[in-house]
Amino acid sequence: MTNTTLDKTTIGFGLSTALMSILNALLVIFKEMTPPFKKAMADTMGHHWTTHGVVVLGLFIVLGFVLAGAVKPESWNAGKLGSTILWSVIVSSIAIAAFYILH
Amino acid sequence: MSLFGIQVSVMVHVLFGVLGIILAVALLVYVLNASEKNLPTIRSLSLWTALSMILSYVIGGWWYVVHYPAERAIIRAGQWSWAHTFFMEWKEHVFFALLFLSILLPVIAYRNDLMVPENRKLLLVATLLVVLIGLAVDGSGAIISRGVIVGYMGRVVP
Repeated sequence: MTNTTLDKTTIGFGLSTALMSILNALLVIFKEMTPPFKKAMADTMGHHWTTHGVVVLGLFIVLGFVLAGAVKPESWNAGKLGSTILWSVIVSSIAIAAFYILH
Repeated sequence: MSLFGIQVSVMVHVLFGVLGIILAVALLVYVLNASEKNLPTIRSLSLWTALSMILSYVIGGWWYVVHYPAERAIIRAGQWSWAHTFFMEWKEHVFFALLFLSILLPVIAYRNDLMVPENRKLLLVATLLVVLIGLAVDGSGAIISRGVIVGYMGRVVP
């Protein structure tokens, strides 16, 4: 018999992918619009992009495990999770592109 | 590091990125033709795609932070300054979404029943995004490289 329920870790890391893609785009816009914040990021690890990477990847891992523990598997099916990931990645990629075109 | 070493390191970054895209395309084909027999291949491809993208990120990240500033100055002084101000800026930040998706691939492949069509569709969506963002990022890298050449064109007598 096939198991149609998604595994909790998959839901947790799927949602973390969606959320962190959006947060990544927001962090890009915020740091570029706030030079002192960007400088503080650069001072923290030698380059703003290094700090950016450590923050978003660290949050992705932590959020993935936290959401895996908190989520109810019956609330998320593969189709709903797939759409959430797809649209968040599309929106965040376009947001970053639009910001750098206008900036 | 020697000039040769710096150039080789950026090429290794590109090689792992392209390898990651090729592995993701292979994964896409295997998922579209999923059977009990090729499940081990699907799981293995998802893992190697993730590892390839992570290696591309680590090597490219090191090169970007340590060696790119010299090239950035050349690009920005040239006629294709947008190769940096748009393409590099977009690429270096969208790469994080590519990393999240790449790490998600083995999580989906190893922890779920891929004989369920909905679960396979989820893996297909994540893999397709890895391929498309990978190609866009790779193309951006090519434009950035041309930006360096255009930058040098303004510095030499024809």
